[in-house]
Amino acid sequence: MLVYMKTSRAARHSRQSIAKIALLTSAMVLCSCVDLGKVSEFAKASQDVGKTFKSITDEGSASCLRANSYILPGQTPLDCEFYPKVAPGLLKINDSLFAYISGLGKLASADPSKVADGLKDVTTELKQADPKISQAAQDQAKAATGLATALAKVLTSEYRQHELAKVIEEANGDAEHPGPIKRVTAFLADYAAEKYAQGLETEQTLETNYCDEEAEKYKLSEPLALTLLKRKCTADNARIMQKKDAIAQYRKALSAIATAHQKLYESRNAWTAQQLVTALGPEILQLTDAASSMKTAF
Amino acid sequence: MMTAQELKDLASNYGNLAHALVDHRSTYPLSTDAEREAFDSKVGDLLKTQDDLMNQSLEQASIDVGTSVDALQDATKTAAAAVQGADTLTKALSIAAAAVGLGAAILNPTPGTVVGALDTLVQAIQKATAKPAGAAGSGS
Repeated sequence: MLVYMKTSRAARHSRQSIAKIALLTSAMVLCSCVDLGKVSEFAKASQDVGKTFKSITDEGSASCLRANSYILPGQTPLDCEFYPKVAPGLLKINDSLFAYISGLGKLASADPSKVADGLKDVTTELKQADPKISQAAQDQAKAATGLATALAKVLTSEYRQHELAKVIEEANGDAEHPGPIKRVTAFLADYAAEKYAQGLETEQTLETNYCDEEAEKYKLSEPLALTLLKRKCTADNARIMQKKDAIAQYRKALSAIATAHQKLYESRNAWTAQQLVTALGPEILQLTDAASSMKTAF
Repeated sequence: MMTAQELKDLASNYGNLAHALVDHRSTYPLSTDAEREAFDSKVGDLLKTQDDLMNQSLEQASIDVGTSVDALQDATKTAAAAVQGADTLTKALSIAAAAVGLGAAILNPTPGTVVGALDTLVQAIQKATAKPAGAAGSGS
């Protein structure tokens, strides 16, 4: 009788412990898990923009060479050596920015089940903690194992959030001490993009002048050549405008990245899935549009 | 002192000035080779100045211009509008030439050169935009 009572008390104690774990775990699942999918989505949208920068740097050299083909007597050719000289450095800086953003995405989207795999011995640990655990309790423990996996996922998610927040804090800096993300995006927008846009404008001005000059020369003697020339000039002008617009989109994308990063920074200690969706939604759209424009133009 | 951003803005003004000069041609076509040569040369010089100013700004260098930066920005912006409105090639080219001179002075400043070149540009603009005698007060 005494044995039965002891066994019964132990089993009840074990069931109560499991129930407590289950309750605690369920509460944590409900309270702590934040879907970082929007961070991953933001990172993915950024990558398409980052990849297209190489085309912009290639276009810088090509545009300069085309511009020099429109140089008329009395005009000094442009220094096209500049572009291949600066391109490798600019590409490295661009790559570092987008590698960082990609890293954020990976940190946000790491598969928690892989981490949970490392915690599959939780059942054994439970058994070790209570060697007298009954079969019924063991069956319940199996359910607890499922919850333990969920807990592992939550813990992983919390860890990821913590890590993500720490990384974002360091990269963002504040108003007084801007961090690498702000400095790099500003540099790429002000230096790289502006220089390439200016190069295209120069090509446009030189070509327009060249077209006007040729038109003046041939308007009476070569009407057919004049028509073809005008067509080419109009088409080239449209192409340059499209490329200039794409560079403007690249600059906007850089600004969107800096803005999105600032939003992540500001809410780093209180993320919720809804907040992330609201905060990053507009920037993700902006980045997707920019990537699309850049792909079409280059 | 002219900062990198101000240099960039000034470079943009020179780009607009070159574009304005090219636009002028579409309204007032050139008729002789000498005119074409003078015109093309000024377009090229303006674009070269723009490129040099932009490259200077990319080096994050600041330049001691010894005068008001706002005055330089205003003058070069006004120059583009004046070129577009100029009713003769000579007037448009005189503004362009003065602007090129100012650009050279900014890029290689020595005491007084920028102030002098700015004054030359302002005068060229005033001359090009001055109404002919008798035009003022015609309503009275």
